[in-house]
Amino acid sequence: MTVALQNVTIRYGDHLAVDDLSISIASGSVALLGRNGAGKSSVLKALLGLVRPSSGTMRFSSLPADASPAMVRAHVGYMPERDAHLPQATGFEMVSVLGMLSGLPRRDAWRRAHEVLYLVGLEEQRYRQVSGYSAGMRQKAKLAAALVHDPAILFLDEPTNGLDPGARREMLELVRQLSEQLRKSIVFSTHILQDVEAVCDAAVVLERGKVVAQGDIGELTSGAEREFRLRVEPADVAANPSTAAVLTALQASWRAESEGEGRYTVWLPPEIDTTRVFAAVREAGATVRSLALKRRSLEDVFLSAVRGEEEAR
Amino acid sequence: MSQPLYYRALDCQRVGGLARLWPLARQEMLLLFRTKLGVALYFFCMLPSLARLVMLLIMFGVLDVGPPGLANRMSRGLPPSLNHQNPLRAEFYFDGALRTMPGMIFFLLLTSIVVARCIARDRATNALELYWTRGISPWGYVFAKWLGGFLITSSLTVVMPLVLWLTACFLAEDWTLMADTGPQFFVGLIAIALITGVWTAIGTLISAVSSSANLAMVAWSMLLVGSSAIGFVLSRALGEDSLRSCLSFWDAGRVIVRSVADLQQRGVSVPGALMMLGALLLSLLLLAKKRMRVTEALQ
Repeated sequence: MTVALQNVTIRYGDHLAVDDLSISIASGSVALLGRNGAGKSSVLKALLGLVRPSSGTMRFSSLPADASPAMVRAHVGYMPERDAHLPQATGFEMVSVLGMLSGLPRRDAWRRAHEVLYLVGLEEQRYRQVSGYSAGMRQKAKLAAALVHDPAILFLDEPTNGLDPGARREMLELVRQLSEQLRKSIVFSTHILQDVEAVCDAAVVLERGKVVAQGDIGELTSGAEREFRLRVEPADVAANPSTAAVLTALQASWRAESEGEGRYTVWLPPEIDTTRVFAAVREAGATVRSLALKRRSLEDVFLSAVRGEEEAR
Repeated sequence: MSQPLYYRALDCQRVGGLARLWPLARQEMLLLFRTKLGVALYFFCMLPSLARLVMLLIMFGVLDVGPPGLANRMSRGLPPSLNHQNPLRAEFYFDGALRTMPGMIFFLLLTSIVVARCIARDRATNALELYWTRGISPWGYVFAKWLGGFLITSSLTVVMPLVLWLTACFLAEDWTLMADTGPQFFVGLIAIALITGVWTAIGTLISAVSSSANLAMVAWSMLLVGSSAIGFVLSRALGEDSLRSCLSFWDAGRVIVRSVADLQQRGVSVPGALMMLGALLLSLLLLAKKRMRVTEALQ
């Protein structure tokens, strides 16, 4: 199932939460990235029909354009960010009651509750009260509740919140399996970039309610320019040419910075072959000792996109 | 390499409307019985009805206390002012639930635990976010919560009087008791059911507007007991008996039920009682409307 938002604006009174947002969330797992208050949760709430956009349209591929919020929610599983459970309910009761509220007949809701609790690894604890669960178990119970009515798309709002490293790894593995094995579309809202890199195929970066970057994780991290770490040494040590000459030679063609002691950072456009760097350095009277491509992390992408948005303002 | 997940796609016809809300109402209704203390509390609240059952058994000679036929003779000789103690009158069966002592005390005990906490408790555990992102609306949710509270409360105010009356009908020598008290009893029973619905709606709405379960309990208790006390004191101080039913929603309900069942009562104002209940319910509905917005659950 794909989801498309076209020119969506969401306001809470005078506060503009989402500003003319147009994104398409394809099948697979897509991350909604952004700082606190960037508009991630507002987008999820609008998709769930809990918040009505002041303008724009939203469309789920398998639903009619005028689908009611109740119809949308039947196809969407939502795992809230905050700790949430039904008072005094066991894991099984919580999941089965929420299944029945989604329209499952009682017998089917019971069967599904057992199945999804087994799926998330809570089969041993399903008859214990959720209030007595650990943080990791509660997150799993929420995930089971999001899955009980067999939704085509899952909205996971900060699913690794408050988890220890072991529980976090388990949760991410589970989410990855849901996407890869069960072919569930997953919208993963978070500000933890390592989680996104571990699980998601694509990302949408939001800042102040606007999209500042989007695309496949691979595309985003490779970027338009490639960043190289260059280390040179004089070809003839006795001659000892100035390193300034090397920098001048590099800067004549590309963006480059000196980091001292014969170390440089060079940014090359994708079409430029690295042999040209070797030639430029040789012409400046030095020899390349090492030239290594630095892979951009998602954090670099996020920070540069957010910084770019701030500068534009 | 991770293990393949065991997962079956769901293949069933979805249900709608009340069938979706019923699990929530059922869960609310049975919540009290999840703990031993809750079960004990429920049976404790049944004490007045059980006491009346014992009275019935004595009156009809099932329990042998005193000289034979004494109870029956006493019942026939009781003055009209003691009709609520007379099993041969319809009033005996439902008036106990409407009296301040002991009816209101046990009603307060049960509803402050079950009804007054219902929505505020869900708010505290963020359950609203889970409920409202399903296929039910906020008002559907409130209705289900009210229904659960109403059903458990009416098991004391409606079901127990019915059980008492049916017991008396079967214990009586002939069907005269059933024929004499039946019409009035059933009219009164319907009125009691409606008033229980209004009372529990007030409790549910107080829970909807309260920020915590304890606050909701305190507010509900204060409103129920406080309005009754103020009504009593002012009616005595000003010498205007009808003030009581215009200030206390418990007394207002009692006056309406007795009026519908055509039971004798003096110094009461039925329109005042109706207006009092209506105004209270409407104000709470308006307050709850603001608090029950979807964004409320998500803040």
